[in-house]
Amino acid sequence: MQRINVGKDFSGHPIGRYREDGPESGEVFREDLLIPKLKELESNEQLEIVLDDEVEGYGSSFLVEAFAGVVKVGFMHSDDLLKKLTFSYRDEDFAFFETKIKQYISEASLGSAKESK
Amino acid sequence: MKKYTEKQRSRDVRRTVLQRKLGYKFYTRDSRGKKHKKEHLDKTINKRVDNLIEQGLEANINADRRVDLTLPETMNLSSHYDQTMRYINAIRSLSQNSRSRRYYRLASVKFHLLKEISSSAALLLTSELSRWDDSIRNNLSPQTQNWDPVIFEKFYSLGFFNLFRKAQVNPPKDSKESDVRFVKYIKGNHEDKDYRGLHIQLTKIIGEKVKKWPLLHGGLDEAITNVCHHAYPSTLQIREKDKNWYLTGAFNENTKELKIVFCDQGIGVPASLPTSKIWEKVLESIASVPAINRRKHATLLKAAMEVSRTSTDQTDRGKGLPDMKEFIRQRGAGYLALMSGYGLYKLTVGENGETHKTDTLNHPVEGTLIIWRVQL
Repeated sequence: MQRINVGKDFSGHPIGRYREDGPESGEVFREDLLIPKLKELESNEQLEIVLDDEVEGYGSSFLVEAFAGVVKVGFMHSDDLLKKLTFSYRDEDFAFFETKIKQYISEASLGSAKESK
Repeated sequence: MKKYTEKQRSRDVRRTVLQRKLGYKFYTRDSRGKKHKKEHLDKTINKRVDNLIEQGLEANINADRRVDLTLPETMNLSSHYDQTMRYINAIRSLSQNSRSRRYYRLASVKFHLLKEISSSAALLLTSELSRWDDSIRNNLSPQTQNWDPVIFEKFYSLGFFNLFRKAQVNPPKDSKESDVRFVKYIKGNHEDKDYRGLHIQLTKIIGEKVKKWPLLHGGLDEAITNVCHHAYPSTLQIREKDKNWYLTGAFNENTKELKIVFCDQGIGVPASLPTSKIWEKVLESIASVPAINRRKHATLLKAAMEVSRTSTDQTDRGKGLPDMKEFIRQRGAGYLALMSGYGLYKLTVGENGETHKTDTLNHPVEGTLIIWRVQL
């Protein structure tokens, strides 16, 4: 299983939606880290996302763009992405963010970001 | 009758398209000449300040139209809202003009009568004075000799004196004058968004971590993202150094009450909504409101706060403001207050569930102020 530790591999303060919001934004996370990792996965392999290591929390702008964005840019269908991702955290408060990420991914329609452009 | 020329028509089309895109208010402001705009603004300052003085603002106007403000005994947004905002708004207006002798401009703000100030009022006051200091090239210098010791201690712990390059202030001798412990305020902008020091400072004061903090962090992240996207639109010529946000926290050791206060000095939520991606959702949500109330700021705030969080629209935006409620909801008790323009939206969570309140304010919050209050 491959792993992304958000706090260590990306930023201790992930914030913002678009690349122009800064290097810690959801779009940067998705394009520079998440999608390349997903490309490396074997067909039955999963990707573990460590949510709470050195991170205090997440805003929905970041989460929507980072995770639902994978579906919206047309990279992967929401059902397939949900099967590929697992989430881990020690702080139980982060269960809220896992639920939110899964909700945002489920609600996203494939390729909708391209259509809206 | 004159013939309607093609040139005239294309000019009108361009104007109306811009008006629809940016909102009439922004378009007209931007379309005027610089000189006309400045003069109009300066005249407005005089009118506004005269009005505020009629309403009870304590101000001494010198011969050259320099204004000394004397802060009142109490500044508190819950118990003395109108009085507090009169001074905050006066500072904002007066600090916009630092040169012209024809119009009022701020000379000094006196603190000697001030005996009590709430954390949200202190943050608003600090942010306005910081803005003023920035506009006069950091030339302010605080004179604290006759300040009340409680007020001095509060502002010292808030980090107020760090604002001023010229400040030479010694720490308070007895740091137990007040039950309320402030944490040093954090000032950020669209590039500097790091506020993680807030939780560290609060943990030190309280003695333990704040439960459900990650959800408050999520709400604060959204508040900051909103500032970057909407509060200071590029269509308005706002100086880069004025595009800031401010954040602080306060803990009352007696009542165990924790308050987190966030503010910006932008155009405010009601003014930013028409150009935001959630405007259509807001319009849908206020369709059932009587037409006369639809453009009331309180109505717009409520609609923005209650935009469906499970909406499956393609843009997926508009989840930011509702996110701010999660901290209070998950803790099960407390309130969230959002004030912007003339609107107030308040969510209270208690034993009887959730209650929402909206109200129209007599004096506007020029920007956005968000307060979370919980009992530890």
